[in-house]
Amino acid sequence: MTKPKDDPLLLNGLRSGNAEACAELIHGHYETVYRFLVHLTRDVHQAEDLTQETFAAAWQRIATFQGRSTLATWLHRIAYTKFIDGQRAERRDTSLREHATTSPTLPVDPLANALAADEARRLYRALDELDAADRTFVVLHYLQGLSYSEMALVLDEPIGTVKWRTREALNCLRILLGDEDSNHAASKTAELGPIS
Amino acid sequence: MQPPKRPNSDRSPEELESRLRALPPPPVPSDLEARLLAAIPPESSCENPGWTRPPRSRRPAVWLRAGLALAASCLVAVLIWPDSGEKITDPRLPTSLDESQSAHLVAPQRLGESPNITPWLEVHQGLDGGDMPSFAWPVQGNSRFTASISIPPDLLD
Repeated sequence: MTKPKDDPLLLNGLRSGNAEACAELIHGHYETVYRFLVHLTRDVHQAEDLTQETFAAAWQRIATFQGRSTLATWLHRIAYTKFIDGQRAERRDTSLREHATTSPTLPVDPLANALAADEARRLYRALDELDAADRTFVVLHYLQGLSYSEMALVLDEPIGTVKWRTREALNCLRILLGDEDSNHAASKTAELGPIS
Repeated sequence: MQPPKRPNSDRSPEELESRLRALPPPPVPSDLEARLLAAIPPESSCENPGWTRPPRSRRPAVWLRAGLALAASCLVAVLIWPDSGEKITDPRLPTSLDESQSAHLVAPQRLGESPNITPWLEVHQGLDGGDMPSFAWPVQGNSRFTASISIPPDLLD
């Protein structure tokens, strides 16, 4: 996946501390950063706090931004660092799964909505069961849409390691979903009851 | 004993990848953008400062440049330094003294003036041969020492 290069005017504006440029950066990237942090933390309140901390750190470091990566990758890197730092802090217990079922972005059709919500719930549940490192690889590549080279910059890992870990994480997710599917089928059969 | 778990064969990795990519994103709080915009620092405080610590990846390059600049300045200093053949004045000497004082200070002492060196000079003059007597062979010596008393004539044969 190729992403458009950052606007040089925007970069110059950010480096000189222009407020409009800062607002443009927020408008273009805050949702991506927030969603990434929601997937990592599984806690919407903590994700909000970390998003604000991420942008606060971005304002402090923008003067030293070299432009070797895109702004999106750079923000992911800051957000990931904030997440690692925040893991030591106390976590509040708010489940992401509850929010996934009430997502306003789900389809409007009731049947499709129900199916999609069911599918999303099962996928999110399996993601939650992954360990934090595996979940980070899956989220960055498949949900956030980062390339392997961008992930290598964010995670500070060699690109080969990133590819291998992503494949391994996907395999773990398939195993978890296999268990989910078999449990799901068993519960559906139980709901229908014995055939008379 | 449970068999080892294997990936669900019904779901290919490609299918799972497409399902993950189609996963609806979690909703974003509506007031989050406003809170972030309110937290933008004023322009004066987030302007690029005059000097910022270079990132870690560039520090070797900065040190290399500093070393090269130091070496270049040393080379320039050596090249434009005054020629060593020119008279070098001793800055420790006073410059405002009159002639007699400065002559007294800088003139070397004449030979023989020092009482410590006089005996040595006398010996040295004697060795130089200025007043040495002429030498003639055989020596008309009247040495008190003799090598032998007498040699019998039969031994000389």
